[in-house]
Amino acid sequence: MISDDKTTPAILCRHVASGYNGNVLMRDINLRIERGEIVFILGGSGCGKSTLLKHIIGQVPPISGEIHILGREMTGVQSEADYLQTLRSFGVMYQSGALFGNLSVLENVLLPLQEFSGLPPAVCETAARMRLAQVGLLSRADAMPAELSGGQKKRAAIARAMALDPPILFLDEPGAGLDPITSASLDALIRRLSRELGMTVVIISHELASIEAIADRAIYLERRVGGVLDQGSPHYLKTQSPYAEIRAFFNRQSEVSL
Amino acid sequence: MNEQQQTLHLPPCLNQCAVREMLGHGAFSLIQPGDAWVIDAQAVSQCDGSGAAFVWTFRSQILACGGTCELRDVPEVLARQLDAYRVACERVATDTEAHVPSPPKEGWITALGRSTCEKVSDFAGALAFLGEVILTLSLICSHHFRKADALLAFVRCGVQAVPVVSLIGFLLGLILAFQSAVPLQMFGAEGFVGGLVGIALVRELGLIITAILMAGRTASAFAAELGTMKVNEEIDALETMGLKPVRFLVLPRVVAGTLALPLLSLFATASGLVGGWFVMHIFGFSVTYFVDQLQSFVSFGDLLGSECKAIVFGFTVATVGCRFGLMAGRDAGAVGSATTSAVVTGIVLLAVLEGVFSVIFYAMGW
Repeated sequence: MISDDKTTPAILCRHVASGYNGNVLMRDINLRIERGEIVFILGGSGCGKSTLLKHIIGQVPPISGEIHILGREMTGVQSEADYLQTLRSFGVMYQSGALFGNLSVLENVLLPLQEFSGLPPAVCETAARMRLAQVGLLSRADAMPAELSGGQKKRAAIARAMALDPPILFLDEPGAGLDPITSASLDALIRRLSRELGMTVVIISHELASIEAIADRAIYLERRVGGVLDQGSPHYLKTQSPYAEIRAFFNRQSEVSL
Repeated sequence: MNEQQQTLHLPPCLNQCAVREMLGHGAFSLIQPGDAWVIDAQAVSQCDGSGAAFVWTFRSQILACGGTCELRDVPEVLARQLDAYRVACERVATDTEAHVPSPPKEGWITALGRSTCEKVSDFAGALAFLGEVILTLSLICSHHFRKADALLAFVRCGVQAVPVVSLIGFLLGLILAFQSAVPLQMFGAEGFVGGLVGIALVRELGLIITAILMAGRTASAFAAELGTMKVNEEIDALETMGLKPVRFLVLPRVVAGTLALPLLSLFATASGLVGGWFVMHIFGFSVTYFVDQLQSFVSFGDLLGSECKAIVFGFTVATVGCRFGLMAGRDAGAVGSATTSAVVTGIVLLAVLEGVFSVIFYAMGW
């Protein structure tokens, strides 16, 4: 069962070896993400951040190690009902948005509500419209995904990921392709949702502005050490991390953004 | 009018479970026309999207029934969600840009005209594409021709198709011989089965069955490959680099298809003849007799005519596959539609061309 104990971490990875088809990308990832935290996962290109996300959400089994979501082991054998319940405990926004092209924006957000919430259609629709209002897309509710811009697609995808009010939200590069103003308003939205609903948010992103604005903690993965190189608040990583590459990563990105 | 005062006390944790529980107790069925309702939200300390949606819908339904609704002691966590939604709804209602008037519904005459225009323009586009492909064929001997791509396409659409083409050809010859031998035996004419199978396979069936297989196997593959490239914006990338998709992607595939079909057709015909001989063998005729029959009924001109047709058919099937791939839309269903259209159009064009060739060969006295 999913643990209701508030001290149980939202996500716990123990000695996870990540990779595909036996090709090890990282040999020993250990991380713990508490409930209600906003955590960014960082690392160089190709170090396996997205692969780690796929392991955590159960899309690709890790080569070895344990992954627990809200106290339930994702990697162990579990019944179909348990697995579905675990899946419903998180929402995922994919890099491309991954909206269903044959459904309107509203129907995309409505789909998980209709299938899993058990609420009557009127409440489902209001809930879906509220989600769209939260991401600023209410006026495009009846549009088809193909008619949306890249940024709008991402916002619609976030609305869909949040539709069932999951306790955990995974966002893969939410800021990529968005203008700075939209990106900042999205950051504010993520922050607000996390604070109001106690939502745990795990973000894979290199947007330094977002990291500094909303991250409680950032975890830096490094392929050389095969796991987490260092982790902490953005301020700590930028100024006090013992690893020069992490300080450089934070500072160089700042310089570039100037 | 019924002026009853009703109160709904919201629970401290207004989440999906709590909403389901309230609905389970028939919350909506309590709403009567003209009721005065108070929604007491004092206890609410936590509220998720479903909770806010419930409050909004409940209130809307009361108002829709002509009642009144007062929200009392609304905590910030709920008020913010309701206010944000109300503001967004008002903005949408007043936003003229969001209300683009939908185009008037067209009548059947307009629809017919528009559809005809689209078909004519599609046909013109297809002719232009055909012209471009034919013009590009002149680059085969130049260094612009991507030989490695053509070889790969030839292996996929030709070499890898040999087993299936041979099997189908063999079975076709076997069935044809068997089905004709039984009735011919009634007239004592089963000895002519060899000639019958030979003429049928060499002149028409060997080629037709191979061409249809190629339309199903290769035209669909070309359409799917190019369609996926279109969806992934790879074709846009080619064009922005100044590379013409026809030279870069279509030419190697068309050349491969044009060369593969005549050869595959030979395989199918040869396998079919083996199938025919097998039946003849069962009926007690020797190989020599079978070959003798073939020599007296089938001429080299028959084979040559068939190979000429095969070249045209191969070119057509490959070109149609590429054309539909390049024309594919950009959504998830686009590749599927392109593939289906490529196969269907390919087979229809094969039938049309077969008719055209029959007339030409008749006029030429072949």
